[in-house]
Order: sequence, then C-alpha cells, then structure tokens
Amino acid sequence: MASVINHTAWIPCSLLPPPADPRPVRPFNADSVNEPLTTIDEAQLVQRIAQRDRQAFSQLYDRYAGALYGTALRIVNDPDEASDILRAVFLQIWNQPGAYDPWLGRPFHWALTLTRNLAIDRLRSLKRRYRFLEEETGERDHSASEWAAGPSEFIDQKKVASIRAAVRTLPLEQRQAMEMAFFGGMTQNEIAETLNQPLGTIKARIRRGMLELRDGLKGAV
Amino acid sequence: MIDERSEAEASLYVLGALPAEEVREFERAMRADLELQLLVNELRAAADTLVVALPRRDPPPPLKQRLLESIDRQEGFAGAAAGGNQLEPPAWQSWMPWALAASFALLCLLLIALGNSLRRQATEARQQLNDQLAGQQREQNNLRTQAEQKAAAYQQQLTELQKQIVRKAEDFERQRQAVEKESENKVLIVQREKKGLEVELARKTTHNERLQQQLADAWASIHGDPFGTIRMAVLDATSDSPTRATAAGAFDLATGRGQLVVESLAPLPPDRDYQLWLFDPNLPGAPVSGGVFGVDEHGGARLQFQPAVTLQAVDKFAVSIERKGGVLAPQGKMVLASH
Repeated sequence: MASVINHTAWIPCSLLPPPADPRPVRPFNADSVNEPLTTIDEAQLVQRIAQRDRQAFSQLYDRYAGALYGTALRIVNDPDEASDILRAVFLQIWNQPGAYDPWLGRPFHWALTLTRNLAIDRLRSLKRRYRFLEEETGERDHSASEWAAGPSEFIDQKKVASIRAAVRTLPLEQRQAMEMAFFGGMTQNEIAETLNQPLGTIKARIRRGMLELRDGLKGAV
Repeated sequence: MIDERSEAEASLYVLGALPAEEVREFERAMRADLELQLLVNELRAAADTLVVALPRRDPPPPLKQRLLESIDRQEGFAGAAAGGNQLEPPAWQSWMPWALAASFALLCLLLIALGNSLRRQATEARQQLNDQLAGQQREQNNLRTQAEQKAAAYQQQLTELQKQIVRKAEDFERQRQAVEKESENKVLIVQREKKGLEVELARKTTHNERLQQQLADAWASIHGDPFGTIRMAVLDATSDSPTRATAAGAFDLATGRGQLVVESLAPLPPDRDYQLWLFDPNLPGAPVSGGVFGVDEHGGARLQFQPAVTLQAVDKFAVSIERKGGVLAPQGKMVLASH
C-alpha cells in the first residue's frame, strides 16, 4: 500500500482542508517489526532503514530501483552512468534516511528528487544536454512486459496503464517542454531558447500540460 | 482563486524550471496561500507520474548485490571500529552510562514538559484561528447579505425608473400624435376654406366681367352706334342643297340673341332636323350651335335663338342637316351658308 502526503511543511496539517485521497503515513509501530516487509508501506521501510534494517533496505530497492534507474537512464542516456547514479542514491538513502521529510511527500518523491538531481548534475558535468525522445513516453506502443510493474514495486500494473494513458494524451509540444524541465533540469528560459519559442508560449504549454496531467490522473493514483 | 500566472509558476516550480530568483518569491507567496500549497502538492504528484510512464528499465542485476556488499562493508567497518575501542576502556566509562542515563531521563522529562506546553499552545492557536475564521465567515456572510439586499433595492429602483421612462415616452408619443392629427385637421379645414374661397372668387370674377360687359354694352347702346353690335348675313343654298333655298340671319352680340328667317327649304324626314351654326373667329374650327328647326309645307321657318356660349364676334352663318335633336359639332351636309 503506497502512501501519499498531501501536506506541506509550512502549515500544520490540521489547518488544511482534507485531501482528495487522504492516505496518511502510518506512524511507526514496534509491532510492525514482525510484519512481513512486502506488506508495510514505504515510509515504514525508511524508518526501518534508519534503524539499519538491511532487509528493509533491500525491500525498498526492489520497489524503487526500476523506476529510478529508468529515470537516470532517461536523463544521462548511458547505462553505466545510470547504474552509478542509482548506486549513489541508495547509498545516500542508507546513510541519511533522516533527510527524508514526510511533509514534502512520499519516500518515492524524495528518492526521485535525489535521482534527478544527481543525474542532472552528471549530465551538466559531462557537458551534455538532455535529448527529448518522443517514443519514450510518446506514441510508440510498448509491450505489456515493458510497462508492467512487478508485484513488489510501489505501484500496481493497472495504475501504470492509467498513468501512461494520461501522459500519452498530452500534446507532444506540452510533453516535450515538461520533460525538458523535469528530466533535463532546464529552466524556462533555456527551454524557450532551445525550442526557439517565446517564453510565454513555454510557460503556457507547461501550465496546460501539468493541469491536464493532474486532471487526467485523478482516480488513477 | 488561483490565477493563470500562479498556476504557471507552480507548474514551473514543481518541474524545477523556475529561475532561482523567482523560486524564493514563489515560495514566499506559497507560504501565505493554502490553496497554492495544495496545487503544488497535486502538481508534484502529477510530475512524479512522468517517471512511472517511462518504459521499464531494470538495473543490472549485480548492482543490488554490490550495493548490499557496500553497506555491509560500511557497517562492518563501523562495528570493527567500535570493537577496537573496547580494548582499553577508560576508568571513567564505568560510571559514564549511569550519567548518560540520568541525563537522558532528565532530558526526556524536559522534552515531555516542552511537548505538553507546545501542544497546549498549538491547541489554543488552533482554537483562536478557528474562532477568527468563524468570525470572518460570519462577517463575510453579513456583508454578502447586505450587498445582495442593496443590489435588490437598486434593481427595484432601476426597474421603477425604467417603467416611469416608458410611461413618459408613451405619454409624449400620444401627445405628439394628437398634435399631429389636430394639425392635419386644421390644414384640411384651411384647404377646404381656401378652395371654397377660390370658387367664390372665380364666380365673382365671372359675374364682375359679365357686369362690366353689360355695362359696356349699355354704355355703347346709350352713347354709341345702336346697331354696332348686330351682325347680319344672307345665306345661300350650297351645292348640296336639293332646292334653291335662301335665308337671312341676324345676331346681336350685346344681348347674345339672334333670328333666322328661311324660305324654300326642302322638308326633312322625321328623324332629321336643320341645325343653325354660328362661326366666331375667336373659336376657329368650333362653330357654335344656334339651335335646330324644321320647316313648314312651303319650306319656310322663323327661328329665334340664343346660343349657350357667349360670342365675342360672328363672321359666318350656316345651316346643316343633322339627326333629330341636333349634334354638338356639324356632321351632316351644309345646305345653307353665308359668304
């Protein structure tokens, strides 16, 4: 069962209106030590990692590694570099589990942020630029096995299909601008310059794309 | 309500595309706006799904094993380092755990007290905020009610004014139509009166002319030639006349009366009459009828006549055979004519 924190760090959660799909983080319970690792949520895994629980670390790796490796590979476009990045991310998770702030989102968002930052830094150090690949999230049909998430991963197969459908419905120019920012670490000005488009156009594309993606995902995640 | 600019900034912020100088400003604005914070959370969750939508790429299988070995080495090194320190424990370490435990217990008590205090403060602050929110909500409702009442009153006044304007416009239109109708009636009356006066003027003018003519004739008869207005002529048979008839005619221009004496004219069938014609040089081609007549067994006749038209002059007399009762213009044979 995945958990999503819909509150921010700046205000107490009691003052916020209830989220659309409230799934609060379960507090750590000593009894959960005896619970099978495949059934406990990600936040509890991180708590166990903080207690130097090697099995919890292994379980978190099994859940996240595919998505994080795919992200790193998408950014640096080099399997060896992507492996190095993934290794660095998980070492950071093992060594600094206290850096995870539940107010800022679920552990996956934290791990994904670490991965993106490392990969984008690596990309810049290699003096390379992110290359938008339309077929990766575009119109090309991938086989079910390519998209399928394993049973131990953080999100189930039906949701993956719904998410992919929501992303595929976005117009190409919106998806391109969003990915150049998210995967390429490019600012709005750099995207506008690269695509040779006015800044206002880029802002509008990203805004529309994000809102459409958010609306399209309602009920999927 | 979040405007489009804030939505765009939130999207760029979540994707990491907002410039650094704008990030600080956006975060400051976000701290003061709960709705914006919720939007950012929603967009952040949406951005994470971009990764989920990527094709699955499994990392190399040995990577996990190498990673686990790395952390095992780290933990082992830490454990070994801890074991090395136990070889020569200092003397003060015998009482150090008790001191640490006591300090920890004291610290726990302090933290519990601090936690309770903070909890109370949070509860009070929450209560105050709730009260303020409720008060603001009530005030907002009151203001909304007042605004709605005022709007309704203004709308009613506006409706009343519109009705008054419509009524005034209708009254004005009715008055305008009445004035127009009255004016038209007056114009018709004036026109009728004018036409009557013109007819009367024409009649008076004709009468005046006639009187002047009569006066002139009377004056001429008194002071001038008594026979100056009498025209006389002898009429001879024409080539179309079956007999050698003759006639004499006289016409007084002053009185408009005349006399014709005929001899030896042939008798006519019952459906025919003789008709006298007088020719006025002022009316060329339009002889004036002097009347119809028949003849006795000797072909004689005496006719006193007065044409219906006033003649200014007569220079010729003629007699034609026409259908019974006469005609407006000569159509039959001329049997007598003056020279």
